[in-house]
Amino acid sequence: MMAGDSDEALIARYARGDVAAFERLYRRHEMPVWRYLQRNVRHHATADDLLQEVWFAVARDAADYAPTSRFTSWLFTIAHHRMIDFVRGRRPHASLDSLLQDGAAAPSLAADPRTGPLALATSHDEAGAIVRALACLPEEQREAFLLQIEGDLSVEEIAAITLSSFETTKSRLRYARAKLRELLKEHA
Amino acid sequence: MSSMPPENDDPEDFDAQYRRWSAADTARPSESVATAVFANAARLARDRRITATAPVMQRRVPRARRAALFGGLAAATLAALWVTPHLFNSRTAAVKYARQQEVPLVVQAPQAVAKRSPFSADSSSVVASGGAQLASSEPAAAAAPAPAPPAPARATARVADSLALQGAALRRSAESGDIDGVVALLDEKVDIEARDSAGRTALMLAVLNGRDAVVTVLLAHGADPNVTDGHGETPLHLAVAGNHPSIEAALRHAGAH
Repeated sequence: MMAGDSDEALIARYARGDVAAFERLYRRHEMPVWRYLQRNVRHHATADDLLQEVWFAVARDAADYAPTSRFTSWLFTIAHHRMIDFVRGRRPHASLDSLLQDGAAAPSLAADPRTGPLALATSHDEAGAIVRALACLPEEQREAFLLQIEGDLSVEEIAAITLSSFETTKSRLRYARAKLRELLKEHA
Repeated sequence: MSSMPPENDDPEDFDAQYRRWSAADTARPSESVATAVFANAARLARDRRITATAPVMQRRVPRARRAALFGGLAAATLAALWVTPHLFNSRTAAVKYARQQEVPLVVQAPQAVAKRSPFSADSSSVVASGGAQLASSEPAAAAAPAPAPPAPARATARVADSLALQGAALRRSAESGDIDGVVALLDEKVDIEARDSAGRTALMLAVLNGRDAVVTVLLAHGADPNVTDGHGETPLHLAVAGNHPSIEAALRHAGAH
């Protein structure tokens, strides 16, 4: 990637009014951010809503972005906060997993043909296996893993985003991979 | 911890496998998200350019005229400070009362509280992310200032995306019982009748979740108690079905039938 095409250069260009730079930035990170949101909240329309909120926030705060940290770290920090706001807004003091277990966070999960339980239960393809395996992980492990795999973030960056220690984050990542490896073994 | 997974598993092998399999996932975000995001980004960029040129314009104003402008602005601010408490007094009292207790207020029927804006339909039909249609019919509440004339189509499209997001935020706050959030959004003149993809308004979601205080505030701000969702259900139907007698009473008092 050329220096002028880096994420940091593109967001700086947008802050000076270059809308095309923003569009390139969005297209570059659209899928990773969406997969991070969708595989955490497990609901297509909600992930769309959150994705929109994330990029509205990026556009609004572009001028305040300080390139002391990587753009992706900043971007996924916003995505993490939007997701937490969504979960807490649904039911204060409830975890994402407890919300998803009783269906409160995803009221129409069953009706969503792309992520509904029926689709997941009957899906034998590899993408379906990944989605199902991720759903089996504890919330903290799933989030840490998705931040790393989709955001390409370091352990230090994930620890900072999730307000956890370096060792805790490292341990979550190791457990997440071990469990996913185990769950996906039969599909390999 | 004795059961800690071994460190010698190669995470890169697994990550490569994950990425390969993940690439087979055909699920994608709706294209309407990108459309809304780009429109919003373009609008903000334009606003920034206007702000950036403002000081240049200021320098062109003669010093004598600047003093007159400053005096005029100061007088307008003082007048606004004097008038504002009178305008918002009754609504603030209703909100305070509703916050103190989860008991519905006696509210006036919306017809008595709110006057319909002749331009409301023109400015608030928007498409939300995920294909959700947010169509509104009555954005103006009683305390709202006189509406601006209908904007040209391009300007309407410009504000549509932020309206969609604000409507979603209002519904989310109403659903979760976040009364401060609801009041803040209503103060921002967010369309109270904005709908989700199932045609439900903030009032309907508050009723569904048994949020008495939010229902009271929404009705006091002129939410339509007889609105119907995509299945023909009204807030009163939902209150009865959900066994929320206090909400049912508040709705009936507001003119629901």
